[in-house]
Amino acid sequence: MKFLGYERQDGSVGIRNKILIISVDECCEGIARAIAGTDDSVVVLTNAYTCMLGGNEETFHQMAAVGQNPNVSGVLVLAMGCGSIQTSRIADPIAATGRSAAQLVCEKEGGTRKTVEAGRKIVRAMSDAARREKRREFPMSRLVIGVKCGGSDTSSGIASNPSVGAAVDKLIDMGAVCIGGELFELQGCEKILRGRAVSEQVADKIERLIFNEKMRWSVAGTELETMSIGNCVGGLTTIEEKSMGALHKMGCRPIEDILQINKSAVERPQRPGFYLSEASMLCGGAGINFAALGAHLLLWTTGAAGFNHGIVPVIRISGNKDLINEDIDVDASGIMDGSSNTGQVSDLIIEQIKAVADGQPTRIEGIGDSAMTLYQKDQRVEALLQLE
Amino acid sequence: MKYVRFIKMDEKDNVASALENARQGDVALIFNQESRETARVSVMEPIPYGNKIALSPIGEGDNIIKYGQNVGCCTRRIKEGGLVHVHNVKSRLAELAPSFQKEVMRRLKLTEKEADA
Repeated sequence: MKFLGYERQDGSVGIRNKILIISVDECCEGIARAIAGTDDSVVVLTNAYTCMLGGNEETFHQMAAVGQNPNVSGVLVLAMGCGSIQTSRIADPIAATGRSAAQLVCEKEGGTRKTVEAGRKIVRAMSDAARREKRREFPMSRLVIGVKCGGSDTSSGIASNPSVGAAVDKLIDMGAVCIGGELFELQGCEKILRGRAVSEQVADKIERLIFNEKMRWSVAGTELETMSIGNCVGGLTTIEEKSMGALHKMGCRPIEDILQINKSAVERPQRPGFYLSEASMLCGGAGINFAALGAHLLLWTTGAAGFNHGIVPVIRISGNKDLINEDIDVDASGIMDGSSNTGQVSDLIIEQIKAVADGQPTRIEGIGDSAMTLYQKDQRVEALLQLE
Repeated sequence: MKYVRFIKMDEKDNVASALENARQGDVALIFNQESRETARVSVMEPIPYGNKIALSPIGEGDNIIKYGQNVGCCTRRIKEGGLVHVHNVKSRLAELAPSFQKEVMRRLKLTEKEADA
């Protein structure tokens, strides 16, 4: 099976040609939006935390890594000029991949209006260059696909997650890379995951990172929600049951590694196969985590929610026939009424992946994207919890 | 009496999930993931869509097996055909707050009396 993609200078293959504007500090976000205008192939990523350096390394690594995502064709990095974060810190590693990575500093340009004007010129040139690129045929093994759930209900663990799991196994067998995350929701699955790890070392790393994620969310004296009332009324009884259902979207092939996203680096898959990662359970942040890990697209299992992303197209799969609406790309509800099974639905998912990789928009691509949240682990909390 | 569909996710499971609402006196048709009927169980109490039925009697302290895995501990004997949920099962990792458990039971119209049965 093959798809039509754009070859990049670093050897990766993109399925979209996005122009990314990165505002390295929150103050130039408005300038970035003014430059982007209404063109949905131009997307804005803003560091909304701070313009300071210390403790924000994870955010810097992610911003650069998102700029290196295969779906990104050109990047403009913006700064106000008064903050500590230099545009070159983000632009240089992106330029090293052969992408055009321009930089603008508002103070140097002579103000906001002039920066908007200069930025529009740069983005227009990048868009023109992107439009001239032609798609070529590549094998499915070149794809990197993230799997994530959100708005889970009973049908997720029965219909959509097992179907995605079956599709993931088929993709791995084709030589592709698939990546899961949401470590908090894998509590109770450690033994199974250890058994799937390719080595003792990877098994230990998986267990350590799940433990760390559990510690971050389980601080005495603070509220913790492992299950929602909706989860429970819908028939899920324990966190173990919810976790096992979630695990089903990750297939059953060996786990090559668990990719860390932290203050030192964003780890990337080094060979084909299935990977776990520190991609967040929170959807907006997970979208950016997966983009930073190099994912081309996401498989997202849900009831009926419409999670969408500006850089990494999202294929939504639902098995809840009472909730399915026009946002859902793959209908898995046949599993619930006996008219279909996981094998058949997984074939539909693979067909959809190929179509979307070829350039066909998903059901809501370009309409109402979710915020591209730059989530990072708070280094102060990490230190207090003594997490390694 | 009517026939209602349930799905059993793994051969080793002692529970199956309701694919439609089941009432007392209904007959549960237990399907596997390949949509093949593998067993029939008499439904002993209302089991709402998405909830679990006991495929055999489950004793206090026994494991609840779904997906072939241990997903909880039985806290109160469950008869074959009974509802398996927060009123007779607890997590081994993170117990639900009592107020949370009460709210779930209220919404599912599980009274204390039924829960004790």
